[in-house]
Amino acid sequence: MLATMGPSGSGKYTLLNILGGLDRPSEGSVTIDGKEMSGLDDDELTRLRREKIGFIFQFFNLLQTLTALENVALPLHLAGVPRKEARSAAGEMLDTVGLKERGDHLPDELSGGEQQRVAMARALVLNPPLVLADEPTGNLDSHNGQEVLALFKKLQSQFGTTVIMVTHDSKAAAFCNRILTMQDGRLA
Amino acid sequence: MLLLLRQISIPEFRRHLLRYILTLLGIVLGVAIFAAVRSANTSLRLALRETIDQIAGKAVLQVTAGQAGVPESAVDEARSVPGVRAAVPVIEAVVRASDARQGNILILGVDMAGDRSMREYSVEGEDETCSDPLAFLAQPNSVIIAREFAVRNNLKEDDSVQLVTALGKKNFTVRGIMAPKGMAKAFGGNIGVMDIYSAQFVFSRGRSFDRIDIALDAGRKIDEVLPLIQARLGSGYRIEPPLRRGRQTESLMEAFTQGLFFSSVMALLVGLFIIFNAFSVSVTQRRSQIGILRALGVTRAQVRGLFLGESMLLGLTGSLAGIAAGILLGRAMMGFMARLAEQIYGVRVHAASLHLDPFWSAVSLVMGVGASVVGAYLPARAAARVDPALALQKGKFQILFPGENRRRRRAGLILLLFCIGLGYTPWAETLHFQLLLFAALFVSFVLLVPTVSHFFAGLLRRPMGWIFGMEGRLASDSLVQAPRRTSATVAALMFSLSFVISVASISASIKTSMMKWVDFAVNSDLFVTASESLTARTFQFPETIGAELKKIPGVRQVDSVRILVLDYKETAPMLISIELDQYLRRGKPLLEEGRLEDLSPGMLGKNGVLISNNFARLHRLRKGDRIELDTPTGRHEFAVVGVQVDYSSDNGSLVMDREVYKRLWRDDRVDTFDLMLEKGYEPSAVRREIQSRLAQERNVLVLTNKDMREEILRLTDQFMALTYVQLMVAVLVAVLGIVNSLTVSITERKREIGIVRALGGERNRVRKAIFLEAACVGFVGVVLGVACGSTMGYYVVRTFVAAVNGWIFPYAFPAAMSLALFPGVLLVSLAAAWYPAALALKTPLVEALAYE
Repeated sequence: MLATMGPSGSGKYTLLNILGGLDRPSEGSVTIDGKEMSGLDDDELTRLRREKIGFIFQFFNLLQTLTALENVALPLHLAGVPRKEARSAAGEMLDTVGLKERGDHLPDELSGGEQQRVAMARALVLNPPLVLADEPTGNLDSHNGQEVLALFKKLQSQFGTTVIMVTHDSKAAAFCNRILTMQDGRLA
Repeated sequence: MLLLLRQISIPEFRRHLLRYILTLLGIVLGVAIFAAVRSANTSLRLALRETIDQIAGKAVLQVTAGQAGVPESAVDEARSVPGVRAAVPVIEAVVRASDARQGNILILGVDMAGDRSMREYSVEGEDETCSDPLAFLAQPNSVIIAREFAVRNNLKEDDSVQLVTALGKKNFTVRGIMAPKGMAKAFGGNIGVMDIYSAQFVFSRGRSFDRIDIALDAGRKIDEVLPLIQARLGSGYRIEPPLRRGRQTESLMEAFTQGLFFSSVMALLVGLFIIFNAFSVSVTQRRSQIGILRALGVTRAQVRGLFLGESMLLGLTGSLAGIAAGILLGRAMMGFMARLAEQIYGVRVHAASLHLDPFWSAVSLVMGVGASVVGAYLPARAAARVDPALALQKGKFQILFPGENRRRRRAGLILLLFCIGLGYTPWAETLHFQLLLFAALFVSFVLLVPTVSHFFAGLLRRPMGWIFGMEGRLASDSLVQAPRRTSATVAALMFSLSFVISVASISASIKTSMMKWVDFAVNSDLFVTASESLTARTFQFPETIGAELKKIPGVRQVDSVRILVLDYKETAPMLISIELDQYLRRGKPLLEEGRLEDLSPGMLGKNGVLISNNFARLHRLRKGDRIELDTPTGRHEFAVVGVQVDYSSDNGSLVMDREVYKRLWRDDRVDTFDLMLEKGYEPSAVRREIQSRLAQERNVLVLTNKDMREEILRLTDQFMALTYVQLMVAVLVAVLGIVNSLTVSITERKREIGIVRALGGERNRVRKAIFLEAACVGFVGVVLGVACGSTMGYYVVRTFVAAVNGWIFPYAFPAAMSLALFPGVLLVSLAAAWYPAALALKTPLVEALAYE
């Protein structure tokens, strides 16, 4: 697990977006799992994101019109997994994050911590090699934040995923193996 | 407030320009139609009054006896009344020139010797009169024409102009050109004058005139002299100021503007709903903005005022644009309405330019702004209630509370049942109550849309998954899980489409009934008429022509039909007189009240009338009732012998035995002879024989049964032309509703679309899911639109149409239009989704994810 820290405007979110293929760099290249991203068109980039990268956002970005189970199953649907299998796999992942009984609830019916755990389940359901997390505890109280970070650690070691996290929270950074500091668009 | 509008609202409008333009187009359309219809109606009415006024000259009173005409003897009677300075006879006929390029001309037949005291004649080249007045009087084929008509048709003195008269095409010599002042400006300058006795002859007036114009002695008041004239002439004459005479024509024209007024109100209602939808979304999207404003000290009232101010701005812009569009539309509408008035009612009006009535323009403005403000009121109130603390927390959405939906459903059901129940009460027969019920029905459907659309969206879930795979699932899941957004879009579609179906229902119902009635009512083999138009009965035959027709080989029976338009209680019903015994031999009327065997005893030679169903309904009459009619021989009472199905006139009709008519109206002229032929005789052959015998000396039009049916159906189509215009408006409104709602809906989903793309949904798949969702929304909208529209259409046909013209048509479901809507709406939905989907997919992902 890698944490990226730095003051506002240091470029850490931009770095995350570029790594995740949500934005394109003006120069330089990014290679993920042996695949160089700059040469990919939009659809190839999208497929890469689907197969190789999981996202966890500060404000969860769950689809408000889908239940927790359906939110977790969405990447599986996008990957063409049959409906039954997708729901089963999503259910297992929700169980992993301790929310099996909350699968039928809409995001607005879940607490912040629960929503973030759903987001984590969604990010990991396709077992991507890389997970990018944008301030995963930024919208949580300290208790929920600790719980989420502990879960992060557990899942990371369980699935062997690389996690790159952008955070202001030094306690969150402490969970990581390595901390990078950015300043003025560069690694300090 | 102005500061807020300038700094908050204007940038907001700029940011979502497309959405706001589409939103205000609904107001533009509604206001444009309203302004156009009112302007056209006002212009035609003013043109009519202007013509009447210009022709009237110094006449302060005019004496008429309906379309039967005023006998010659009445002129001397009127002259002898104390206080009458001058009483001059007049014949007025709008005739066609043989050269179609010359168009119609209004010919005034006047007594040249006495008429100069009534009207100003400025014949060019002479101060007093035309160059040879004796020649003018002595030669029957003389005419003086207005300069405008002369210049337009390159005519000068001593030239010949050929006019279509009752005696066929006749050449008239131009004896003088009138300078363009006073009377010569009437009817757009398409006016001519001839000797009255020539006019009597060529226009088959017999020994009658159309009216007597009266001028009073100096110092005498109308109120003093009018009763004296009435007492001298009798109650069978109408004596009134010239402008009141145009009342009947104005009321005819007013009738069909009501239909277009209905369209403009419907367009405004849909526009109101579009505004409601757009502002609801705007409030949701600007929640954090509202939170910031509230945190900075803006009060709830100011927030409400901000959104209402925006709606007023939109309404004002839309109304002004609508009025401008209405001017353009009004010009086209004016020509259209004038042509309809001529073809349906035989009324010719010439309006040179559109008159923009400041009063109606102001009303249009108020209606447009009002609709906008009313539409935005609930969202503005919701904006004022936004909790600033919650609003400033990113990622929170407002949800529809389940309890709120239950309350709406309950209220909608209760209101719907209430409306249906009230429709069966006696109050439901009045027009204003009808409009109220219609509005309440509309509201009940508004309340029920979320429940019903959610139900249909749920039904589509499985089929969509089976047929379209993952994209279908995404599309249908989105529909079901976003009831607020889905129902808002579906509602806008539903209302627009129900408007289309309602209007199509009216059209289908009327046309189906008309065609059945024509099959029954048009049962003669040939129809011989003196005028070229069935509705503008300019010329009549003398009765003796009937005997000539009877002599033609193959003719078995000749019925003489005379049709007048009466003035009865501010309406203009048709009086049809015919030889009753012959009429009943060739066909049996479709009776709603009364018995066939009672008709002859009650009507033959007696003062009995058979009235039409709509006349009965409009005047609340039944069999056995008695009505009074004014005739040239005084006021007479008539017994209602029966009520029949008859679609001859939307003001109603009365059938009377011809002998009774001749006796009371002192008029033996005939408009049409209906002929029955012997077996074995070809109608076309008999027609040729009739034309060869009569056409040399008369204007004769002979129609076969097939021709007559086609002509009636053509007139029906003309009558329905207004409905077709309404249908076009309805379709335009529907397209606008679809485009606007889908644009708003898809724009609202930018963030959702960004999330799906971030999770690995390719553009094409996401685009397909958006299109499928749009198609589903379109499909559900059509199903509900057809259901709602059929219900409202049934209601309109059975009650509203009945309240306007008395006819209750059996309801006919517009199957063809309903079927055509499915592919049409699906196409429009897909087309409407294309641009906003492209915009949403083009948005950089980072921006889309941050979109609120």
